[in-house]
Amino acid sequence: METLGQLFDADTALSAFRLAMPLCMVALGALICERSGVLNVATEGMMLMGSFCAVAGTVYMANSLWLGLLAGLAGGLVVGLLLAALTVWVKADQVVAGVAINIFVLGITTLFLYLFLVDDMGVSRAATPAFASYSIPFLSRIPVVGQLIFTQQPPVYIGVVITFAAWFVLFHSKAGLTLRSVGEHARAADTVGIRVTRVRFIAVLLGGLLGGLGGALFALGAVQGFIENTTAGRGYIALAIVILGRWRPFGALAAALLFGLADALSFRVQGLGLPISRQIPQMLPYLVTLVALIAFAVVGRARMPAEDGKPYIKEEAS
Amino acid sequence: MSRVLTRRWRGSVKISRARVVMGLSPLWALIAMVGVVLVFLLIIGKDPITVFGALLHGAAGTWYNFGTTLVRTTPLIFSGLAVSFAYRCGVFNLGVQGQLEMGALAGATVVLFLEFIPAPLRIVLALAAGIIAGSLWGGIPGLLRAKLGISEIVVTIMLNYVAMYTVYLFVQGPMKGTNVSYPTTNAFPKDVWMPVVLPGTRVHLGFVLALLAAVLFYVVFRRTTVGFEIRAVGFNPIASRFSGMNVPKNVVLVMLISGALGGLLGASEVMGVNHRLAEFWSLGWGLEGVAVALLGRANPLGVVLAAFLFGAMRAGASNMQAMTSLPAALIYIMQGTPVIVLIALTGPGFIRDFMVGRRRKVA
Repeated sequence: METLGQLFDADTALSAFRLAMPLCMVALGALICERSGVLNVATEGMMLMGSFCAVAGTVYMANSLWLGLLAGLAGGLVVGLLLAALTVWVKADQVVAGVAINIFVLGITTLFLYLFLVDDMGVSRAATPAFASYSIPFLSRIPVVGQLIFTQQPPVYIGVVITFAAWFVLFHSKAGLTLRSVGEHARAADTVGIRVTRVRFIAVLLGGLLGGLGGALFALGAVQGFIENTTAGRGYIALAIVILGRWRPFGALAAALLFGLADALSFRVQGLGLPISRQIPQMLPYLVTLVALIAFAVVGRARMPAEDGKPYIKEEAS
Repeated sequence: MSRVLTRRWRGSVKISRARVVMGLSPLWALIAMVGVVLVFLLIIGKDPITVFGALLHGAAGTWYNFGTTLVRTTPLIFSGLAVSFAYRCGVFNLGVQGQLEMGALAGATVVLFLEFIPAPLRIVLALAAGIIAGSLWGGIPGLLRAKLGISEIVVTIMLNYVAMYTVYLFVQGPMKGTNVSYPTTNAFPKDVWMPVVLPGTRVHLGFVLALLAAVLFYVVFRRTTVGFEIRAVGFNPIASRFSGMNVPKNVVLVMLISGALGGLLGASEVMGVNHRLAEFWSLGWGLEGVAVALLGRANPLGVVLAAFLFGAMRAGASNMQAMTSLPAALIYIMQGTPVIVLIALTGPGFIRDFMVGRRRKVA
């Protein structure tokens, strides 16, 4: 019982938020892409590149976490650009392109890690300071909730704001309607004068930015550093989050919190030194993802955007 | 008459130009790769000749080094074939890594715990156990996709991590050897090592098995109805269903076979190269297999060639690291670049239009 108390204390809850927010950002990025009809499997690559650039940026730019965060965004954007070029211009198979990008980014971040952040003796300096947590005035004084929700690192608040923004833009703005129409029926959208290619290109770039942000938040906010393959499949977990969140921003936030909790518990159990092998908590996030996907598929599936994953090839005029 | 001839002649020129541009795309991809690496080396101020020389020497400088290339090629042929097999049916098996971990675990279990079985038979049994374990592990995502419509992409990746930690769990606990300082099993006795097939190298029976698997792959898709059905389902699942093919059955089947190849990889590798199962024993063969399959365009000869190329890079990398103090991870850009370039070249959009000339308008 005492151990249970240790597992589910305020620290765990706080780190659940910290670990959920990166996943939520990456999932939002993927969600925007999928709503426009591009299945974004490169989330892992975007997140990994975001993590690397954020850490490298922080280390090389006077340990400034905010500059590092910007570097992470830039890294994600570059990967987004690559995915956009391959899927929207070249119209390659979107899964193939995404997976290839993930392999490529895993390679390149590993290479750059050894070139720029690990010295000849094999000592890594890919570690960053942590964000200081910020208590929102008044709200943080509310008992329990105040401590859990309103005493977070600044990136967590940014994440919440972005989730709201994504929801508003997607469902209550003209731009969002345009985006969704392209994802539901590209040809019809094209007929009424919407430039399908341009909309998708922008959507994938946004996906890259959010993926990079997610990676940066993960590296700087949650683990404070970078190692080879640091994201370890979390980009793919974000894809599961999109499905579980039924392609909706708040759904994604809720699902991300579930996985953040799984992640937090995993780290927590490893830290407590309980008499169980550390591999069992390490498996936890992946097992939770599997179980959640299966349960969701059994209980009832949500409908994915109709043109998700289909390249749009314009019919030539006759 | 002459007009017809000219038209035919012009037509054939057009085809051959398209052939040159698109048909040779793997070649262009490799040229692009060399170009990218050259530029990269010049930027970081390394002499390309020294670097490529060190790579080449490590990959083929001596008979033993050439053997190392074949040793590194072996798992990549298996995983490239595994990915290609599923891909032919429209299934993305990103889970070869997990399947090979499970195969290695099963193989090591047979080798270490069934000591009463005479050695040659035990090797065969261990390989069989690896095949079965990998196949079952691959069957999970196949079944989940066929029955519940869950994307195999996420599931296979999740299962990779579960499998990896399962292996670590076993080598740290029940299978941990005596007098070992890190999580590993005892070394396998010499009589259950995979026999060496090229004297003076470490090339083991697994290499022959990998080539046999490639031949078998070819035969299945060229000569059998099973292969035809798999390709049909991959090409157009809806049409296949209406012509009476069982799409879910085929999806599960390809994942079972793909997983079997992964499991065989794992068992053959622990018995042929590592001779023990340890934490962090495997390299990223699963994902590299995806790159190999893409570069080899999911056809067996292409896969063998791409695996050989990647295997040579792997073999050369450690020598390069020793000679030039560049990280061995340099080969990752040499592996990733051609795959990306190939995808860009072969996709139906922008670049193809640009290089081949716009397709004729439909009248």
